[in-house]
Amino acid sequence: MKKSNFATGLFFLALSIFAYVQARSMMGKLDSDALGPGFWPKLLSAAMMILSVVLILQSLFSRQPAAGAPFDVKSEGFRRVVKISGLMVLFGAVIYAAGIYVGMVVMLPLCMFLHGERNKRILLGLTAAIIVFIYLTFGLGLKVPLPKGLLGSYLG
Amino acid sequence: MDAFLQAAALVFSPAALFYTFLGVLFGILCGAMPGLSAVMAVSIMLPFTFSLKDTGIMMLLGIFCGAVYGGSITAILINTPGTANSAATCLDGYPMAHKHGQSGRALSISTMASTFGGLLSALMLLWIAPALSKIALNFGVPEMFALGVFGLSIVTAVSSHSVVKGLLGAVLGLLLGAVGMDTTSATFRYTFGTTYLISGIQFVPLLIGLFAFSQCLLSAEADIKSMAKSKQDKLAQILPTREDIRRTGPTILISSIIGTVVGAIPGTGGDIASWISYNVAKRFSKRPGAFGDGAPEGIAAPEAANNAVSGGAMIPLLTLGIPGDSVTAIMLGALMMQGIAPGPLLFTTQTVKVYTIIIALFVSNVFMCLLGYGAIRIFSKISLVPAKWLNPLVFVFCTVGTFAINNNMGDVVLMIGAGIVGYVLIKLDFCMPPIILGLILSDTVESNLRRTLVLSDGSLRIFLTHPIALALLAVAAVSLLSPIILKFWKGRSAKSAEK
Repeated sequence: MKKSNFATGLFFLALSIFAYVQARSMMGKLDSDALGPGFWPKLLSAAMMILSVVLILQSLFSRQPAAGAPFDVKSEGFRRVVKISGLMVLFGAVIYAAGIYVGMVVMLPLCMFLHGERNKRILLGLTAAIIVFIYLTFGLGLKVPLPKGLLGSYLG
Repeated sequence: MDAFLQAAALVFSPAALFYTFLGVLFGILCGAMPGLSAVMAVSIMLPFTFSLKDTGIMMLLGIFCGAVYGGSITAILINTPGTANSAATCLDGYPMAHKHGQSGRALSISTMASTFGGLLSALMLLWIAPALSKIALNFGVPEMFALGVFGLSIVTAVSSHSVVKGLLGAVLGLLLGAVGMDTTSATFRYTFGTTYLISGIQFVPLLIGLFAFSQCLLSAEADIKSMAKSKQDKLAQILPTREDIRRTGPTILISSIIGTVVGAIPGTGGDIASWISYNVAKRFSKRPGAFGDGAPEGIAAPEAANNAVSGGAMIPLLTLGIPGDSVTAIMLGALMMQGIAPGPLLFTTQTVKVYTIIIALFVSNVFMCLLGYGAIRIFSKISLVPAKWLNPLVFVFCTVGTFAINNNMGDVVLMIGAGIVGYVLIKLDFCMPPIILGLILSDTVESNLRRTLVLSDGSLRIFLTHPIALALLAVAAVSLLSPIILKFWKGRSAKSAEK
C-alpha cells in the first residue's frame, strides 16, 4: 500500500497541476464579482496539491508496516473484473448503436457467464425474464424512455 | 377545531385513503429504483392528480413520503441508493445486511426511523410552522455558505480509513462540482469543448456509478464459488427489537429534528439532512467505531432525517410560498392548480386545506410504515439472490435508471466510467461518501461565497455580523479538526503508555 500511496499521491499531484493550469485561463470576471470563475478551481487545485504532497510524504515516512498490494493482477478475480469492465463498455457501445434490448441480449448472458453461471437454460431464461421485466416495468408501466440506439431511431 | 374535523373527514374518506395508499406504494417502488427519484415520481403522477382535486394532493404527498423511504431499500440490500437521500444509509445499511446477514433488521430499523421522522416533521408542521419559517427566512447567502461548509466538515467523520484520502476525495468531488458553465460569469470550466459537460457533472449517474457499479465490480472479484451461493439471512423478527429501539431512539429523535429544520431551509434537501444527521449521530455515539460496519444508529440517523425533510420542506412552502426542495417545487404547481395559494395568509384563509395536507402527511407515513413492515420479508429475499444473477441485474438497473434521468447516453458513459474509477479508488482505500459530499455541496459553497462577497464588497467581515453563519462556521471547524486532533492525541497517549 505504501507504493500505491506514493503513486496515488503523484497522480493527484499531476491532476492538481493540470486543474490549476486550466483554471488560469478562466477569465470573464465581472466587476461586481470579487473572485471570478477561476478562483474556486484554483483554490481546490491548491488544496489537492497540498494533500497530494502530504500523502506522498506519508507513504515515504510512515512507520506503519506496508499492507499488501491493492491489485493482484495475476488473480482470477482481478481478471474477471477487467473482463466485466470491458463488457460494460461494450454494453454501452451496443446500447448506443442498437438500443437497450439488443444490449441486454448481448450483456446479460455474457455477464452471468463471467460470474460463473454455466447452465444454458438459466443463462437464456434469466436473460429473457429480465428483458421482459424491464420492458413491462419501465417501458409500459412507468413509460420511462429507454435508449433506442441509432438503429432504433433510424427505424423509427 | 371545525376546520380540523372537516379536514379529517376528507382525508379518512375511502377514496382519499385509497389514493394515498396508491401514492405511497408507487413512491416506494420509484424510490427503490436507482435513477428514479421522488422528483421523477411526483412529476410522472402529477397530470393524473389534476382531476382528483384534494385527493390528488394527498396522493402526491404519499408519493413524496414513499419515494424518500424507498431509496433505503436498495441502499441496504444492494448498496445502491435509490435516491440521493439514501446515500448515507449505504454506509451502515449494506454492511448490516451483507456482512452480518441481517437485512431484515436493517430494513426494520430503516422503516421505524423513516416513520418516526415523517410523523415528527408532520407534527412540527402542525405546531410550529410559522415560527420555524421565520428562522428559515433569516437564512441568507452567508448562512447558506456556512451551511455548505458545515456539510463539508462531515468529510473527516465519514473518512473511515485515511483522513488525507477522505479530504482528497472531498476536494475531488468539489472540483467535479466546478465542471460546467459558471452561472455568475457564464464561463465554461473544464468542459474541454464538449456539449455534455456544459451542464456540469450530473450527480445521480456519478452516485450510481460510485456506489452501485463499483460495488458490483468488487463483488465480482470474489471467489467464483461464493458468487453461486445464497447468503443466509437472519430474519428472526420483522418488527424492531426493544434493544434496537432503545439504542436508536435518541438518534432518531435528534435526526428527525435536524431533518425538519434542514428541510425548512429553502434550497436544501434530504441528502444534506441525512449526512448532517449521520455525522451528529457518529459524533455523539458511545460506539463511534461501529459506524461504517453496520451500526444501527448509522441507519436510523439518515433515514429519520431524510423522511423528516418531507414535513420540513412543506413549512416554507405553506407559510411563505417558497418550496423547501425540488419535490415541493412541483407540489407548489400542483397546489396552485387546485386553487390553494401558499403564503402567509394560507393558515387563516384556507385552514381546512392546510389541515388536510398535514393530516395527509400523517396518513402517508402510517401507510409507509405498514407497507414497509408488510413487505420486509419480500424485500429481504433480494439478499438471498446469488451474486452471479444479482450483479448483472444491478448493472441493467443502473443503466436504465441512469438513462431515465435525462434520456442522455452521456450519463450512461459517465456512470460506467465512474463505476470503474470508483472500483480503483476503493481498492486504493478511498471512501466514496466524501466525493459525493463534495459534488453535492460544491455549488452551494462556491455560489453563496461569491454572492456573499458581492454583498459585502469583497470583505469577509460580513460573517462577523451574521451570527448564524458564524456559529455554523465555528462548528464546522470543530467538526473538521476534532477527528484529526483526537487521532493525534490518542497516538501520543498510546506511545506514552508504551514508554
